[in-house]
Amino acid sequence: MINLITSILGIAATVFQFFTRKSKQKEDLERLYKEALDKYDSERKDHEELRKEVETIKERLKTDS
Amino acid sequence: MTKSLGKVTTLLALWTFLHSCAHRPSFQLEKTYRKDLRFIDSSGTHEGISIADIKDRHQFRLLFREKPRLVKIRSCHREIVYENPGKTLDFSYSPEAGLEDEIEPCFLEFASFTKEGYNQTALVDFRRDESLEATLTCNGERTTNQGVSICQTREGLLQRLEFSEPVSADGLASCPKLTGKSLTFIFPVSIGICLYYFYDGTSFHKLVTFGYDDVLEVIGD
Repeated sequence: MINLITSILGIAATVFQFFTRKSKQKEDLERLYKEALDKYDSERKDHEELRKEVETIKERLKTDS
Repeated sequence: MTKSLGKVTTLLALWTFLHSCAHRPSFQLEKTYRKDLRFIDSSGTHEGISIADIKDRHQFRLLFREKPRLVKIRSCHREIVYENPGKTLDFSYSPEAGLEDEIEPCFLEFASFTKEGYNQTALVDFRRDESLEATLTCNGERTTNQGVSICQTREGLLQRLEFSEPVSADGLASCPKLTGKSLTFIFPVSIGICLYYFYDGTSFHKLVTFGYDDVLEVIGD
């Protein structure tokens, strides 16, 4: 009888542990996904600054030649 | 009965362990990964980088390694977002007159994000009025390009660009210096995107470089 109760408790603990771990994993993945998106967005170049710098480079090359 | 329950417990424990190990992403935010998103356009299949001739309408098919949760397509003018597009995405791009077909530079960038944050990217640049020919030796491959060259390799590795007559060179201030007049330029690739221009007195050649510090792999693939 004691063995039976121990086994049932063991199964319950394993199932509980599985769902807890799954939930933690899901949270971690959601965080990683959001951080990856934020990182990508934060890497955005300042297009106006880039355009001006390229214009300057091309003008300088034309003038120097 | 007790023995059977013991077996069930063991199997459950094994199942829990296997699930906890499966498909853990190796993605690290601080790293700059190689652009490895595959895509098809009218000139063929590309991986990560490509140069296209500017035209009224471009048709792209993006081929993702895994089904993304979100895809972002961005130019210097617009950002288009697709949610759960599946393993491929067909995208038609008509550059906006006076903006996307004239602003220099105006890359087209593709980025996909899976639910694990796993991220694939690609970069397309366009050939406009640049017409000077150059031979690029990039990451072990030698190509002769009209007007624009693009090179992706690991940060710090040395590449070469050759011209048939001496040309003047200059690039973005944030990139490794490439100046002076020369026939051949040997240069290191720095992390991220860099832009260089070469001028022979009548026409330009543009060089786009992308340097990475890691190649993304997915554990459990």
